[in-house]
Amino acid sequence: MDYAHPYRQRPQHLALAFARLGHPVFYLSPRSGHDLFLSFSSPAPRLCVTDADDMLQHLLDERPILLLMSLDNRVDTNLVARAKSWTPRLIYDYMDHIDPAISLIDIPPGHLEAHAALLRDESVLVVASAQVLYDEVAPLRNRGLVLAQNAVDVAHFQVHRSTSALVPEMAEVVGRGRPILGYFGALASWFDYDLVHAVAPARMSASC
Amino acid sequence: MSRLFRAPHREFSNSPLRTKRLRSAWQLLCREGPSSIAKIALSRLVLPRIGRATHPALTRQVRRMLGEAGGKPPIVVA
Repeated sequence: MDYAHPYRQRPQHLALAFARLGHPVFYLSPRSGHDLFLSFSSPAPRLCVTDADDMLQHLLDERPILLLMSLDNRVDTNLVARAKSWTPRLIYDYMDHIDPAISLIDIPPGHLEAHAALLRDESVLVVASAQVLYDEVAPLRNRGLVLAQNAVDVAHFQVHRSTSALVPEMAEVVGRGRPILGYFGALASWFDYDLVHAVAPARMSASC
Repeated sequence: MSRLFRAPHREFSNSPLRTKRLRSAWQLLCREGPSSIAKIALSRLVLPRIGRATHPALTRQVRRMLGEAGGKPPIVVA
């Protein structure tokens, strides 16, 4: 996923968080149309967005920590082998179930194969983004597994924004002047509409 | 070292004139607000080729970031 993709996901948040912790971070862009740079861009201090991973391999004196994302269908056994030849410090971020219903495209068999191998490879640190994923991986290894769940970037939502450009439906909700409870994410197959309908009346003091 | 993701580039002549023309075309399209398809084509096909001529800038950027890291290891988010 491009760093500048308007729908910011876990890879972008992790990259920015690592940079804020003081690490030099290099975000490898697939250049899908949102990242518009010549050889790199620097959207934040210590964060470099580039696609020149071949150059990075020569420029980085130290073997980097390489973070692979589980939803990246380009990750297959050949890529993992190349990654390991670059650095022994691999992290595999198991950020979501590997499922066509989630990714909305077919999962390449090579990715499924690599995914299964990475979950068992104790030379690779696996990070699970949810307890259910952690519980899935735990029986497969004796070490190198951590749970790092998603959270809310409170500062992002606390910024005062102009309401003049809101669509009428949303402007009406904002105009009520009450706290707003909402869901920020994809309305995909896993979204539990019945649950939302069930719990919304319990919070009548807020706008849902 | 082999590349992780990048397909090998075909040989491309980075003559100063050609680079200048491509860069001008890119800047023009940015001003005009290119369509998504044009952006993808540019970002995947054109910019990397121009970028090959700007690798010294990437080299300086990497050196600067490593120099300011204070010993913290680099992280590559792929």
